[in-house]
Amino acid sequence: MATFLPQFQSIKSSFAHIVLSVEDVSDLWPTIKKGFEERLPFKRASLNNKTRNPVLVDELPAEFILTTDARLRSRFPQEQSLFWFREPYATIVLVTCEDLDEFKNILKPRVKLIVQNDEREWFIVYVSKAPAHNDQATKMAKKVHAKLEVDFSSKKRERCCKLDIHGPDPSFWDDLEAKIMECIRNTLDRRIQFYEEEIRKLSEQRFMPVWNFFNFFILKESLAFMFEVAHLHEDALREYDELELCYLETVNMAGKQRDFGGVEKGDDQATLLDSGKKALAQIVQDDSFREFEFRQYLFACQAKLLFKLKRPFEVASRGYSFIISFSGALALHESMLPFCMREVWVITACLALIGATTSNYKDGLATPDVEKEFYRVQGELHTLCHTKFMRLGHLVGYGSDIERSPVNSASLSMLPWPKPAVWPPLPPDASSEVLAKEKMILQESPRLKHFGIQRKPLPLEPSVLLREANRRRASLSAGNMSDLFDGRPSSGDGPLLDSSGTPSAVQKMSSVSMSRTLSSPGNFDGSIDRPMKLAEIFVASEHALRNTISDAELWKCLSSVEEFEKKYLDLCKGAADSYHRSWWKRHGVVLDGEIAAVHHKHENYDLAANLYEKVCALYAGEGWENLLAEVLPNLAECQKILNDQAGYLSSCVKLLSLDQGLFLPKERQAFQSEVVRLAHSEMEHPVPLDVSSLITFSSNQGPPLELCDGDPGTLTVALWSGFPDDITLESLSVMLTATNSTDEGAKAIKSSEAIVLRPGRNNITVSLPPQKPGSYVLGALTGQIGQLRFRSHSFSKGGPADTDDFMSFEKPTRPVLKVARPRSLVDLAAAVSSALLMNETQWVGIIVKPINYSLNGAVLHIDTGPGLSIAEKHEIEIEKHEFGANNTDHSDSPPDKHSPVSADVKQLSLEDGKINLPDWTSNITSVLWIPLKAISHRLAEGTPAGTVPQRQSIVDGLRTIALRLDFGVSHNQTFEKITSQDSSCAFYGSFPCDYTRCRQMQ
Amino acid sequence: MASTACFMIVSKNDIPIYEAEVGTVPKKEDAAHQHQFILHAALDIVQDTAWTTSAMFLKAIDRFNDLVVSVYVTAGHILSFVMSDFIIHTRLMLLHDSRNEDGIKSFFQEVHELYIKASSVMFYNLI
Repeated sequence: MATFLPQFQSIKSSFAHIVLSVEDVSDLWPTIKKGFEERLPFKRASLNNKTRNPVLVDELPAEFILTTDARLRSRFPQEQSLFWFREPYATIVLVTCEDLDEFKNILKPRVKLIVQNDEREWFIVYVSKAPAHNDQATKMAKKVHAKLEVDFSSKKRERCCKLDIHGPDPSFWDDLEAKIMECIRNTLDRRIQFYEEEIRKLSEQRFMPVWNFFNFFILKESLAFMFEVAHLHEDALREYDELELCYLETVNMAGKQRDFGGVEKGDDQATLLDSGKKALAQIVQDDSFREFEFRQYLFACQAKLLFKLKRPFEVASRGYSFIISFSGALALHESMLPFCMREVWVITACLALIGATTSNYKDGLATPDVEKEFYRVQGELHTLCHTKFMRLGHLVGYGSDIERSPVNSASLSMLPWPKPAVWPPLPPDASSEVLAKEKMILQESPRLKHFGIQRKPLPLEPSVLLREANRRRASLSAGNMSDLFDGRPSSGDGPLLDSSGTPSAVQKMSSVSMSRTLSSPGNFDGSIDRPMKLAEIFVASEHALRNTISDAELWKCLSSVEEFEKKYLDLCKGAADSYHRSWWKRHGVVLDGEIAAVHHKHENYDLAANLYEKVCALYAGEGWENLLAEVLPNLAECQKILNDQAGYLSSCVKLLSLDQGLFLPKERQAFQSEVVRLAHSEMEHPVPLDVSSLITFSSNQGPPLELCDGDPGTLTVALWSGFPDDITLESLSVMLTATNSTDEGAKAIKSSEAIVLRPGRNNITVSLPPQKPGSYVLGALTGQIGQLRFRSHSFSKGGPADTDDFMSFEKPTRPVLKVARPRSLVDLAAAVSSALLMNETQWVGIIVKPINYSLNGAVLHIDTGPGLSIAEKHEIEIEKHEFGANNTDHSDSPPDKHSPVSADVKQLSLEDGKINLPDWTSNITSVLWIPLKAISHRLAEGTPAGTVPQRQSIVDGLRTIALRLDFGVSHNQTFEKITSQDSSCAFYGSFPCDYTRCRQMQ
Repeated sequence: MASTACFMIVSKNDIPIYEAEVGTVPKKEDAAHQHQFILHAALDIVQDTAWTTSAMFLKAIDRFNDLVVSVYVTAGHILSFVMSDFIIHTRLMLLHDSRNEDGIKSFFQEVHELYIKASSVMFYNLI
């Protein structure tokens, strides 16, 4: 049956729609042809699919062909059964007759003869030529039509319709379409049944020796093609799917060694979307087809149907799977295929699929989920193509131009090298090319990272290319290792090449290779015994690839570094864009990073910085610090070159705040020196710097500082510095936020002097002015490094700064300061209660009572009013006050052993009306004895109080003493009291009075 | 036979909170980046897949040549009512070259148990 293949192909290519044959009995076709063809294509055709379910076809193209046409007449019966799908689906018998006799004698027998073939679906169109005004002729036409219906129609099936040429009935065309559709439907059902039966029979013989895939294929594809022609694309697709499964089973059947194919010129260009690229007859092999071409052919047929079904997303999705699976098949036969055939095929397949699916896809065509999936697959296709393209670039010597990023490294370092049976040899007369490559290798210089960061470059190779290539050369072992590494100055391309990774080692290797390379420029004998040098491997690969690649566009992309980078960038952009559209932000952003690297290399720092920022934002936001550490130095470099000082500073701070193990100490010192340098320079646009990740703070352990209202204090704050070295802060402010009041904003507490922060924990003390009563927490930290204002709002962990505890996190903020509500801090009261004797010096006791508050350094101001004076010849005395003793009248005698006060008396002197209270009295109640004298010129000395008969008023006898006690940490507290003294009454003033009231009295 | 296995716990905010190379292949300086990179990229797939299945163990959701990513998504949204909201959709991720799916699943289940115990201690505050 393979002999029918060419014919089958040509029929398929020439047959595009359903054929309706016209049996023009009465030469009417030229007259009515136009009207018939205007109905094409049929709208909303109702057909049955393979499972006999009705399917509405929106548009069904068809063609009317006269039965006398050569296309229908020249077929042999065998062909008819084999290619039944192309036979007419309906026969329309056109008749006219205006005479019943003529009908009976001529027309009827002739029509009977025509329709006697049961296999055909047919109906009769009676064309009436009777003019509308000619009743006689019209009546006759009706009679003939009625006769036709009687003779040819049955109860089950109406087979006649009538067309009036001179006044067509509008319902005729609907009637005609319905009859045609009925015929097509019946024919289709019958043919499906036929093909199914044939296929079933063949399927039963699948495992028999007589089995022949061609027969199965022709039947199966005929059925599929018939569905396709009838616009039953879903059914056609199912047939191709089944055909593919059956083929794969045939191919994978053990015990048969088959020719895979793929070795002809042009096979490197994928034909997975072009079913007509190669004739099926050309790919015949034994009883089947060659796998290389036929699998692509089947996919192309499936893709064509999917495009017709308006499902480009499915083409992309199936296509990606197909490429992966077919790439695996290519790998199995790689040793027989041209060099890098697999890589080249995958690249062309991906590009073809991307192009076709994108051009067939319109946004909004599918549901959001499908659209998302479509773009994801587009991203995958771009990435796959990108990876293979990089591999080819690497083989021809552009490896040093590929960014050694994690994504490229992960893609390439695990991807095996091509495995040709023999690595391509160096072509003769390639010495100049080898020299050029060697020169290129020597000019390679590993790009130094900013801040002098030195890292072992990420690998792009699964193993050393030099060794792999030489190993694959026939009759060659690993060879002399010193020869192998010749001409290879750059390190990092494999584990063997840079075990040390130090610059000195690289330099040493470079110098050795340089002398050897230059001393033997003409040694290109191509001897198989000598291991090839790297430059030679590049040249040999390039020549071999030139033979493999037939696509001029693709070859152009590998012809120079510039073209390579251009294509590389295109693929990266395509992949990134697709991933972003599919909401795979991580994939998208990673590829943005690749684009940024290319821009960076070409000094397009602006574009590079924008893209790097996206990458860094992603990694920083998700806390993947190892990955961030790879990219952030690049961003910092771009920002520095662009003079983006704010961004650069921010990047440096971020670098410093990354895990310390990610950078060497000297690298971290470099970050810090950049921060300090910029901070002390004149920045054009100084911006506050957020150092929350670098300087953290917390209160010291223990209870919060407690102060009385109005008291200043000293607050100690623990600061953790993430800087590797000491850093000087020109100023530092701690923000205190009241927890009980949201009205008041945070208050900044400034440190008065410059502070040098050591790495790790620092205890900083700041002077605290009097605060309002309440509870305060640390809010934020602000300060200045040089000209630079910084801010940190990050609480440090409560534990030690160097904790490795991943699980701990900042603790809830707790108060650092509590300022108590106003209360009495001290009380002054009279120690005795009796009237004074006039004109006589007496001891007046004043009890000084601290109320849970230290009177350390307290100063008592005594101001006697008129008529009262302090006897200067006596010292003022102070002693501890004993509680519980009776306050008897001892005002006229100094304290003695019978006194309720302590015997431990200290003498104080009054200076300018002030007495400095001794420190020992700071926390105890003490009594101050003041020698007082009430002066009156009207009374004699020693007149007792009861001998004042003619007192005008109480006021006349009053004497006052104003007492003011200055105390507190910085004498900030004041207690004042003005008390009255009646010369005839007790010095009595022990009423409680808090200092607030005293202030009010002022 | 030496095997590669990189285990990570990724919190609900996609922050890696634990990482360990649990394979027998000695850790390479550059491979750590690769493993992290592959696992990080696989989060894109996890975010899509996690909502399409009720299974907690998502086997081989991503493949990178010979390396496979398997993930165990905790049912945090149930626990969030009982305890607190800090274990919503924590993901246990393993990059491996082993094909022993049952073993990997058991490993995940054991780690999940330990994780729940650790996170039940109220003194811990997971990111």
